[in-house]
Amino acid sequence: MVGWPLIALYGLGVVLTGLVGCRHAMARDARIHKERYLGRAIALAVLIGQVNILVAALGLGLGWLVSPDMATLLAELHEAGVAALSVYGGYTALVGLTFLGYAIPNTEVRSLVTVAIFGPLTLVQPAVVVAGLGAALLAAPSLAVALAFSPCVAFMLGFGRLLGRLEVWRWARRGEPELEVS
Amino acid sequence: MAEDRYPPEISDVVIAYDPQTLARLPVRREDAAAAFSPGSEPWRVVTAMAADDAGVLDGAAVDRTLIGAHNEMQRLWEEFLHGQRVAGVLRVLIDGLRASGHRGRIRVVDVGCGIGYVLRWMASHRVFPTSEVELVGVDYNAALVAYAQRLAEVEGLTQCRFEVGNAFAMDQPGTIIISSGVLHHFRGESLSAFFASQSRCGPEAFAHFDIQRSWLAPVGAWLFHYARMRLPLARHDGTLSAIRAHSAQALFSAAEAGSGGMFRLLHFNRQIPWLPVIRTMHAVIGVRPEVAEALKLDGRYAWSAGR
Repeated sequence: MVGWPLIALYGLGVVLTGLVGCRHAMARDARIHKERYLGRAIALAVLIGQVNILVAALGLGLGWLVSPDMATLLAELHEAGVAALSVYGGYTALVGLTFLGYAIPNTEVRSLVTVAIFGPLTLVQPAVVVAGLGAALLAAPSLAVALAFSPCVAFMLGFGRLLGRLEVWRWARRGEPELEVS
Repeated sequence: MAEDRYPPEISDVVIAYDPQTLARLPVRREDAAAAFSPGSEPWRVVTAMAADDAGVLDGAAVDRTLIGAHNEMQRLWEEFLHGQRVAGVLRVLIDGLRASGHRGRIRVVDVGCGIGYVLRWMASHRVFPTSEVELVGVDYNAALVAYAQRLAEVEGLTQCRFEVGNAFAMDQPGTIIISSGVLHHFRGESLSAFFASQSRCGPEAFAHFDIQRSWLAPVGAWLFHYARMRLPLARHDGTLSAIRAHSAQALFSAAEAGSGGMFRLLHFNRQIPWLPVIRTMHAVIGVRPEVAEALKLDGRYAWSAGR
Protein backbone atom coordinates (compact mmCIF):
# COMPACT_ATOMS: atom_id res chain seq x y z
CA MET A 1 0.00 0.00 0.00
CA VAL A 2 1.61 3.21 -1.23
CA GLY A 3 -0.06 5.64 1.15
CA TRP A 4 0.61 4.04 4.55
CA PRO A 5 3.55 6.30 5.45
CA LEU A 6 1.39 9.35 4.81
CA ILE A 7 -1.40 7.94 6.96
CA ALA A 8 1.12 7.21 9.74
CA LEU A 9 2.50 10.75 9.41
CA TYR A 10 -1.04 12.07 9.75
CA GLY A 11 -1.42 10.03 12.95
CA LEU A 12 1.78 11.40 14.41
CA GLY A 13 0.69 14.91 13.38
CA VAL A 14 -2.54 14.42 15.35
CA VAL A 15 -0.53 13.32 18.40
CA LEU A 16 1.74 16.35 18.09
CA THR A 17 -1.15 18.81 17.79
CA GLY A 18 -2.66 17.26 20.92
CA LEU A 19 0.62 17.59 22.84
CA VAL A 20 1.08 21.18 21.70
CA GLY A 21 -2.49 21.93 22.78
CA CYS A 22 -1.87 20.37 26.19
CA ARG A 23 1.39 22.28 26.65
CA HIS A 24 -0.31 25.48 25.61
CA ALA A 25 -3.17 25.06 28.05
CA MET A 26 -1.16 23.82 31.04
CA ALA A 27 -0.21 27.17 32.54
CA ARG A 28 -3.51 28.89 31.80
CA ASP A 29 -5.52 27.32 34.57
CA ALA A 30 -4.23 27.14 38.13
CA ARG A 31 -6.81 24.75 39.52
CA ILE A 32 -5.50 21.53 41.04
CA HIS A 33 -7.89 19.23 39.21
CA LYS A 34 -8.07 20.38 35.62
CA GLU A 35 -8.24 17.10 33.74
CA ARG A 36 -11.44 18.06 31.91
CA TYR A 37 -10.04 21.48 31.03
CA LEU A 38 -6.89 19.88 29.60
CA GLY A 39 -8.95 17.25 27.81
CA ARG A 40 -10.99 20.00 26.15
CA ALA A 41 -7.83 21.91 25.23
CA ILE A 42 -6.28 18.80 23.64
CA ALA A 43 -9.47 18.00 21.73
CA LEU A 44 -9.71 21.59 20.50
CA ALA A 45 -6.06 21.59 19.40
CA VAL A 46 -6.52 18.30 17.53
CA LEU A 47 -9.63 19.74 15.88
CA ILE A 48 -7.83 22.92 14.83
CA GLY A 49 -4.92 20.75 13.72
CA GLN A 50 -7.17 19.12 11.12
CA VAL A 51 -6.59 22.25 9.04
CA ASN A 52 -3.32 20.49 8.27
CA ILE A 53 -5.28 18.08 6.05
CA LEU A 54 -6.13 21.02 3.80
CA VAL A 55 -2.53 22.20 4.00
CA ALA A 56 -1.35 18.70 3.06
CA ALA A 57 -3.79 18.61 0.16
CA LEU A 58 -2.40 21.94 -1.03
CA GLY A 59 1.15 20.57 -0.77
CA LEU A 60 0.26 17.40 -2.62
CA GLY A 61 -1.45 19.47 -5.31
CA LEU A 62 1.66 21.57 -5.74
CA GLY A 63 3.79 18.43 -5.85
CA TRP A 64 1.52 16.94 -8.48
CA LEU A 65 1.85 20.08 -10.62
CA VAL A 66 5.63 19.77 -10.86
CA SER A 67 5.81 15.98 -10.99
CA PRO A 68 6.17 14.27 -14.38
CA ASP A 69 3.46 11.73 -13.59
CA MET A 70 1.36 10.42 -10.74
CA ALA A 71 3.22 7.10 -10.40
CA THR A 72 6.55 8.88 -9.95
CA LEU A 73 5.03 11.28 -7.41
CA LEU A 74 3.50 8.43 -5.39
CA ALA A 75 6.78 6.48 -5.37
CA GLU A 76 8.71 9.54 -4.23
CA LEU A 77 6.16 10.37 -1.56
CA HIS A 78 6.29 6.80 -0.29
CA GLU A 79 10.07 6.88 -0.03
CA ALA A 80 10.10 10.36 1.53
CA GLY A 81 7.29 9.42 3.92
CA VAL A 82 9.16 6.36 5.22
CA ALA A 83 12.28 8.49 5.82
CA ALA A 84 10.32 11.21 7.64
CA LEU A 85 8.57 8.54 9.69
CA SER A 86 11.89 7.17 10.88
CA VAL A 87 12.70 10.59 12.38
CA TYR A 88 9.26 11.38 13.80
CA GLY A 89 8.67 7.80 14.93
CA GLY A 90 12.02 7.73 16.72
CA TYR A 91 11.23 10.99 18.50
CA THR A 92 7.75 9.79 19.45
CA ALA A 93 9.17 6.52 20.76
CA LEU A 94 11.66 8.47 22.86
CA VAL A 95 8.87 10.60 24.33
CA GLY A 96 6.87 7.42 24.99
CA LEU A 97 9.83 5.82 26.78
CA THR A 98 10.16 8.95 28.90
CA PHE A 99 6.56 8.55 30.02
CA LEU A 100 7.55 5.08 31.26
CA GLY A 101 10.25 6.73 33.39
CA TYR A 102 7.69 9.20 34.67
CA ALA A 103 5.54 6.30 35.81
CA ILE A 104 8.14 5.35 38.46
CA PRO A 105 6.42 6.32 41.72
CA ASN A 106 9.26 8.34 43.20
CA THR A 107 8.98 12.10 43.53
CA GLU A 108 12.64 12.77 42.84
CA VAL A 109 12.93 10.42 39.84
CA ARG A 110 9.83 11.95 38.27
CA SER A 111 11.18 15.44 38.88
CA LEU A 112 14.42 14.38 37.22
CA VAL A 113 12.54 13.04 34.19
CA THR A 114 10.70 16.34 33.87
CA VAL A 115 13.78 18.53 34.06
CA ALA A 116 16.38 16.44 32.32
CA ILE A 117 14.32 14.77 29.61
CA PHE A 118 10.92 16.38 28.99
CA GLY A 119 12.40 19.90 28.91
CA PRO A 120 15.10 19.19 26.31
CA LEU A 121 12.71 17.04 24.25
CA THR A 122 10.26 19.95 24.12
CA LEU A 123 13.00 22.39 23.17
CA VAL A 124 14.27 20.23 20.27
CA GLN A 125 10.79 19.53 18.93
CA PRO A 126 10.96 22.21 16.16
CA ALA A 127 14.36 20.89 15.10
CA VAL A 128 12.90 17.37 14.91
CA VAL A 129 10.05 18.63 12.70
CA VAL A 130 12.61 20.20 10.33
CA ALA A 131 14.84 17.11 10.52
CA GLY A 132 11.92 14.99 9.28
CA LEU A 133 11.65 17.21 6.22
CA GLY A 134 15.41 16.93 5.72
CA ALA A 135 15.24 13.13 5.91
CA ALA A 136 12.38 13.10 3.41
CA LEU A 137 14.34 15.24 0.96
CA LEU A 138 17.48 13.16 1.39
CA ALA A 139 15.53 9.99 0.63
CA ALA A 140 13.68 11.44 -2.36
CA PRO A 141 15.35 14.66 -3.48
CA SER A 142 12.82 16.31 -5.76
CA LEU A 143 10.92 19.57 -6.01
CA ALA A 144 7.65 17.65 -5.84
CA VAL A 145 8.55 16.17 -2.45
CA ALA A 146 9.72 19.57 -1.17
CA LEU A 147 6.46 21.19 -2.25
CA ALA A 148 4.36 18.36 -0.84
CA PHE A 149 6.03 18.26 2.60
CA SER A 150 7.02 21.87 3.28
CA PRO A 151 3.55 23.36 3.89
CA CYS A 152 2.73 20.69 6.50
CA VAL A 153 6.08 21.19 8.21
CA ALA A 154 5.56 24.96 8.26
CA PHE A 155 2.08 24.45 9.72
CA MET A 156 3.39 22.20 12.48
CA LEU A 157 6.21 24.61 13.29
CA GLY A 158 3.75 27.49 13.66
CA PHE A 159 1.00 25.51 15.36
CA GLY A 160 1.81 26.62 18.90
CA ARG A 161 1.90 30.23 17.74
CA LEU A 162 -1.40 29.76 15.92
CA LEU A 163 -3.02 28.50 19.13
CA GLY A 164 -1.58 31.53 20.92
CA ARG A 165 -3.10 33.89 18.33
CA LEU A 166 -6.48 32.20 18.62
CA GLU A 167 -6.25 32.46 22.40
CA VAL A 168 -5.44 36.18 22.28
CA TRP A 169 -8.43 36.65 20.00
CA ARG A 170 -10.61 34.74 22.44
CA TRP A 171 -9.28 36.82 25.33
CA ALA A 172 -10.00 40.01 23.42
CA ARG A 173 -13.63 38.95 23.39
CA ARG A 174 -13.80 37.64 26.97
CA GLY A 175 -11.23 39.84 28.76
CA GLU A 176 -8.83 39.38 31.71
CA PRO A 177 -7.03 36.19 30.67
CA GLU A 178 -4.89 35.85 33.79
CA LEU A 179 -7.87 36.15 36.09
CA GLU A 180 -9.83 33.55 34.23
CA VAL A 181 -10.57 30.35 36.06
CA SER A 182 -12.25 28.50 33.23
CA MET B 1 26.55 43.50 54.68
CA ALA B 2 28.18 42.12 51.53
CA GLU B 3 26.52 43.25 48.35
CA ASP B 4 24.58 40.55 46.56
CA ARG B 5 26.40 39.50 43.42
CA TYR B 6 23.22 38.44 41.65
CA PRO B 7 20.69 40.74 40.05
CA PRO B 8 17.22 40.81 41.65
CA GLU B 9 14.19 39.06 40.24
CA ILE B 10 11.79 41.30 38.37
CA SER B 11 9.04 40.52 40.88
CA ASP B 12 11.30 41.81 43.67
CA VAL B 13 11.62 45.29 42.18
CA VAL B 14 8.22 46.05 40.64
CA ILE B 15 6.40 45.81 43.92
CA ALA B 16 7.07 47.26 47.40
CA TYR B 17 5.30 47.25 50.74
CA ASP B 18 5.51 49.27 53.90
CA PRO B 19 7.12 46.80 56.34
CA GLN B 20 4.90 47.97 59.21
CA THR B 21 1.49 48.46 57.63
CA LEU B 22 2.03 46.21 54.59
CA ALA B 23 0.46 48.98 52.52
CA ARG B 24 1.46 48.93 48.88
CA LEU B 25 4.08 51.59 48.11
CA PRO B 26 4.34 53.34 44.75
CA VAL B 27 7.19 52.07 42.59
CA ARG B 28 8.64 54.28 39.89
CA ARG B 29 9.25 52.40 36.65
CA GLU B 30 12.55 54.17 36.21
CA ASP B 31 13.75 53.06 39.66
CA ALA B 32 12.69 49.47 39.05
CA ALA B 33 14.39 49.39 35.65
CA ALA B 34 17.60 50.80 37.17
CA ALA B 35 18.12 47.45 38.92
CA PHE B 36 18.98 45.90 35.55
CA SER B 37 21.41 46.58 32.72
CA PRO B 38 19.82 48.80 30.07
CA GLY B 39 18.67 46.71 27.11
CA SER B 40 18.68 43.43 29.06
CA GLU B 41 15.60 41.21 29.04
CA PRO B 42 14.43 42.15 32.57
CA TRP B 43 15.02 45.83 31.79
CA ARG B 44 12.81 45.48 28.71
CA VAL B 45 10.10 43.73 30.74
CA VAL B 46 10.06 46.49 33.35
CA THR B 47 10.19 49.39 30.90
CA ALA B 48 7.27 47.88 28.98
CA MET B 49 5.06 47.85 32.09
CA ALA B 50 2.22 50.35 32.27
CA ALA B 51 2.85 53.48 34.35
CA ASP B 52 1.03 56.73 35.02
CA ASP B 53 2.16 60.20 33.95
CA ALA B 54 4.46 60.46 36.97
CA GLY B 55 6.15 57.21 35.95
CA VAL B 56 4.66 55.17 38.80
CA LEU B 57 3.91 51.58 37.82
CA ASP B 58 0.24 50.69 37.46
CA GLY B 59 -0.33 48.39 40.47
CA ALA B 60 -3.25 46.55 38.88
CA ALA B 61 -1.26 45.84 35.72
CA VAL B 62 1.68 44.62 37.81
CA ASP B 63 -0.67 42.31 39.74
CA ARG B 64 -2.13 40.90 36.52
CA THR B 65 1.37 40.18 35.26
CA LEU B 66 2.33 38.54 38.55
CA ILE B 67 -0.80 36.38 38.56
CA GLY B 68 -0.04 35.29 34.98
CA ALA B 69 3.55 34.48 35.99
CA HIS B 70 2.42 32.55 39.08
CA ASN B 71 0.00 30.57 36.91
CA GLU B 72 2.93 29.60 34.72
CA MET B 73 5.26 28.94 37.61
CA GLN B 74 2.68 26.63 39.17
CA ARG B 75 3.79 24.19 36.47
CA LEU B 76 7.11 23.93 38.25
CA TRP B 77 5.38 22.79 41.42
CA GLU B 78 3.05 20.51 39.48
CA GLU B 79 5.76 18.82 37.45
CA PHE B 80 8.13 18.61 40.41
CA LEU B 81 5.32 16.92 42.36
CA HIS B 82 5.91 19.43 45.09
CA GLY B 83 2.55 18.87 46.76
CA GLN B 84 3.52 15.25 47.45
CA ARG B 85 6.96 16.31 48.68
CA VAL B 86 5.65 18.85 51.19
CA ALA B 87 2.84 16.54 52.30
CA GLY B 88 5.37 13.78 52.99
CA VAL B 89 7.47 16.04 55.21
CA LEU B 90 4.41 17.46 56.97
CA ARG B 91 3.14 13.97 57.71
CA VAL B 92 6.38 13.20 59.54
CA LEU B 93 6.32 16.51 61.43
CA ILE B 94 2.68 16.08 62.46
CA ASP B 95 3.37 12.52 63.64
CA GLY B 96 6.24 13.94 65.71
CA LEU B 97 4.04 16.65 67.19
CA ARG B 98 1.38 14.12 68.17
CA ALA B 99 3.95 11.74 69.60
CA SER B 100 5.41 14.57 71.69
CA GLY B 101 2.02 15.22 73.20
CA HIS B 102 0.65 18.05 71.06
CA ARG B 103 -3.14 18.01 71.18
CA GLY B 104 -5.64 20.06 69.25
CA ARG B 105 -5.81 21.22 65.71
CA ILE B 106 -2.52 21.87 63.97
CA ARG B 107 -2.29 25.06 61.98
CA VAL B 108 0.03 24.89 58.99
CA VAL B 109 0.96 28.37 57.73
CA ASP B 110 2.48 28.76 54.27
CA VAL B 111 4.63 31.93 54.19
CA GLY B 112 4.67 33.78 50.86
CA CYS B 113 2.06 31.38 49.53
CA GLY B 114 1.50 33.23 46.25
CA ILE B 115 -1.47 31.58 44.56
CA GLY B 116 -1.40 28.83 47.18
CA TYR B 117 -0.61 25.75 45.11
CA VAL B 118 0.83 23.60 47.91
CA LEU B 119 -2.04 24.17 50.34
CA ARG B 120 -4.68 23.82 47.65
CA TRP B 121 -3.04 20.57 46.50
CA MET B 122 -3.07 19.14 50.04
CA ALA B 123 -6.65 20.27 50.60
CA SER B 124 -7.88 18.84 47.33
CA HIS B 125 -6.13 15.51 47.93
CA ARG B 126 -7.43 15.36 51.51
CA VAL B 127 -3.94 14.62 52.81
CA PHE B 128 -4.90 15.52 56.37
CA PRO B 129 -8.32 15.41 58.05
CA THR B 130 -9.85 18.89 58.33
CA SER B 131 -10.59 18.26 62.01
CA GLU B 132 -6.86 17.71 62.63
CA VAL B 133 -5.13 20.18 60.36
CA GLU B 134 -5.92 23.70 59.22
CA LEU B 135 -4.09 25.11 56.18
CA VAL B 136 -3.51 28.89 56.02
CA GLY B 137 -1.67 30.66 53.22
CA VAL B 138 -0.25 34.13 53.90
CA ASP B 139 1.22 36.61 51.46
CA TYR B 140 1.79 40.36 51.27
CA ASN B 141 0.24 40.59 47.82
CA ALA B 142 -3.53 41.05 48.06
CA ALA B 143 -4.13 40.20 44.41
CA LEU B 144 -2.32 36.85 44.68
CA VAL B 145 -4.15 36.05 47.92
CA ALA B 146 -7.54 36.92 46.39
CA TYR B 147 -6.74 34.73 43.39
CA ALA B 148 -5.64 31.83 45.63
CA GLN B 149 -8.85 32.14 47.65
CA ARG B 150 -10.91 32.24 44.48
CA LEU B 151 -9.20 29.12 43.13
CA ALA B 152 -9.88 27.35 46.42
CA GLU B 153 -13.55 28.35 46.29
CA VAL B 154 -13.92 27.26 42.67
CA GLU B 155 -12.77 23.78 43.67
CA GLY B 156 -14.68 23.75 46.94
CA LEU B 157 -11.56 23.47 49.11
CA THR B 158 -12.70 24.40 52.59
CA GLN B 159 -9.67 23.11 54.49
CA CYS B 160 -7.44 25.91 53.22
CA ARG B 161 -7.81 29.67 53.30
CA PHE B 162 -5.63 32.59 52.35
CA GLU B 163 -4.87 35.86 54.11
CA VAL B 164 -3.00 39.06 53.38
CA GLY B 165 -0.48 39.73 56.10
CA ASN B 166 2.75 38.95 57.85
CA ALA B 167 2.87 35.24 58.68
CA PHE B 168 5.05 35.95 61.71
CA ALA B 169 2.67 38.49 63.22
CA MET B 170 -0.65 36.66 63.09
CA ASP B 171 -3.10 36.66 65.97
CA GLN B 172 -3.10 32.88 65.87
CA PRO B 173 0.42 31.87 64.87
CA GLY B 174 1.16 28.72 62.92
CA THR B 175 1.98 25.44 64.62
CA ILE B 176 4.09 24.52 61.62
CA ILE B 177 5.43 27.13 59.22
CA ILE B 178 6.29 26.16 55.67
CA SER B 179 7.35 27.91 52.49
CA SER B 180 8.28 26.96 48.94
CA GLY B 181 10.66 28.95 46.79
CA VAL B 182 10.71 31.86 49.20
CA LEU B 183 14.07 31.68 51.00
CA HIS B 184 16.21 32.74 48.04
CA HIS B 185 14.37 36.07 47.99
CA PHE B 186 15.99 36.87 51.35
CA ARG B 187 19.56 37.98 50.77
CA GLY B 188 22.38 38.58 53.19
CA GLU B 189 21.39 39.37 56.76
CA SER B 190 17.70 39.42 55.94
CA LEU B 191 17.82 35.60 55.71
CA SER B 192 18.78 35.16 59.36
CA ALA B 193 16.31 37.95 60.22
CA PHE B 194 13.63 35.82 58.55
CA PHE B 195 14.44 32.90 60.84
CA ALA B 196 14.61 35.21 63.87
CA SER B 197 11.14 36.61 63.12
CA GLN B 198 9.86 33.09 62.71
CA SER B 199 11.30 32.01 66.08
CA ARG B 200 9.62 34.96 67.79
CA CYS B 201 6.18 33.79 66.66
CA GLY B 202 6.86 30.44 68.33
CA PRO B 203 6.04 27.59 65.97
CA GLU B 204 6.57 23.97 66.94
CA ALA B 205 8.28 23.21 63.67
CA PHE B 206 9.10 24.66 60.25
CA ALA B 207 10.01 23.35 56.80
CA HIS B 208 11.24 25.74 54.14
CA PHE B 209 11.69 24.31 50.68
CA ASP B 210 13.73 25.84 47.90
CA ILE B 211 15.65 24.88 44.80
CA GLN B 212 18.81 22.98 45.62
CA ARG B 213 21.90 24.93 44.68
CA SER B 214 24.20 23.08 42.27
CA TRP B 215 26.26 23.71 39.15
CA LEU B 216 23.49 22.00 37.17
CA ALA B 217 20.52 23.87 38.63
CA PRO B 218 20.82 27.01 36.46
CA VAL B 219 21.02 24.90 33.27
CA GLY B 220 18.07 22.77 34.35
CA ALA B 221 16.09 25.86 35.34
CA TRP B 222 16.84 27.53 32.01
CA LEU B 223 15.73 24.43 30.11
CA PHE B 224 12.58 24.07 32.17
CA HIS B 225 11.50 27.69 32.04
CA TYR B 226 12.31 28.28 28.38
CA ALA B 227 10.65 25.05 27.31
CA ARG B 228 7.53 25.50 29.41
CA MET B 229 6.86 29.19 29.99
CA ARG B 230 5.90 32.05 27.76
CA LEU B 231 5.88 35.11 29.97
CA PRO B 232 9.32 36.78 30.00
CA LEU B 233 8.90 37.59 33.71
CA ALA B 234 8.24 33.93 34.57
CA ARG B 235 11.19 32.78 32.45
CA HIS B 236 13.58 35.33 33.91
CA ASP B 237 12.59 35.02 37.55
CA GLY B 238 12.32 31.25 37.41
CA THR B 239 15.78 30.81 35.93
CA LEU B 240 17.28 33.38 38.29
CA SER B 241 15.74 31.57 41.27
CA ALA B 242 18.00 28.60 40.58
CA ILE B 243 21.05 30.83 40.20
CA ARG B 244 20.29 32.71 43.41
CA ALA B 245 19.40 29.61 45.43
CA HIS B 246 21.23 29.52 48.73
CA SER B 247 23.61 26.68 49.50
CA ALA B 248 22.57 24.30 52.26
CA GLN B 249 25.42 25.67 54.34
CA ALA B 250 24.16 29.25 53.98
CA LEU B 251 20.63 28.19 54.89
CA PHE B 252 21.72 26.32 57.99
CA SER B 253 24.04 29.11 59.12
CA ALA B 254 21.17 31.60 58.82
CA ALA B 255 18.70 29.23 60.48
CA GLU B 256 21.09 28.61 63.37
CA ALA B 257 21.84 32.30 63.79
CA GLY B 258 18.17 33.28 63.61
CA SER B 259 16.64 30.48 65.63
CA GLY B 260 18.79 30.92 68.74
CA GLY B 261 18.94 27.22 69.56
CA MET B 262 15.16 26.83 69.74
CA PHE B 263 15.06 24.15 67.09
CA ARG B 264 16.89 21.02 66.04
CA LEU B 265 17.74 21.59 62.38
CA LEU B 266 17.39 18.94 59.75
CA HIS B 267 18.19 18.81 56.09
CA PHE B 268 15.60 17.21 53.86
CA ASN B 269 16.82 15.95 50.48
CA ARG B 270 20.53 16.45 51.05
CA GLN B 271 22.25 16.56 47.69
CA ILE B 272 23.83 13.35 46.47
CA PRO B 273 27.50 14.11 45.70
CA TRP B 274 28.23 14.04 41.95
CA LEU B 275 24.55 13.59 41.19
CA PRO B 276 23.00 17.03 41.56
CA VAL B 277 20.30 16.25 39.00
CA ILE B 278 18.42 14.20 41.61
CA ARG B 279 16.76 16.01 44.50
CA THR B 280 16.24 19.33 42.80
CA MET B 281 14.38 20.68 45.83
CA HIS B 282 15.60 20.53 49.39
CA ALA B 283 14.40 21.91 52.68
CA VAL B 284 15.74 23.27 55.91
CA ILE B 285 13.60 21.86 58.67
CA GLY B 286 13.45 22.86 62.32
CA VAL B 287 11.71 21.00 65.12
CA ARG B 288 11.54 21.67 68.85
CA PRO B 289 13.85 19.37 70.82
CA GLU B 290 10.92 17.45 72.31
CA VAL B 291 9.50 16.82 68.84
CA ALA B 292 12.92 15.70 67.61
CA GLU B 293 13.06 13.38 70.61
CA ALA B 294 9.67 11.93 69.75
CA LEU B 295 10.74 11.42 66.15
CA LYS B 296 13.98 9.77 67.27
CA LEU B 297 15.90 11.92 64.83
CA ASP B 298 19.57 11.82 65.47
CA GLY B 299 21.21 14.59 63.56
CA ARG B 300 20.95 17.47 61.19
CA TYR B 301 21.12 15.30 58.09
CA ALA B 302 18.89 12.51 59.30
CA TRP B 303 16.30 12.68 56.57
CA SER B 304 16.58 11.72 52.96
CA ALA B 305 14.21 11.60 50.01
CA GLY B 306 13.02 8.08 50.58
CA ARG B 307 11.71 8.59 54.03
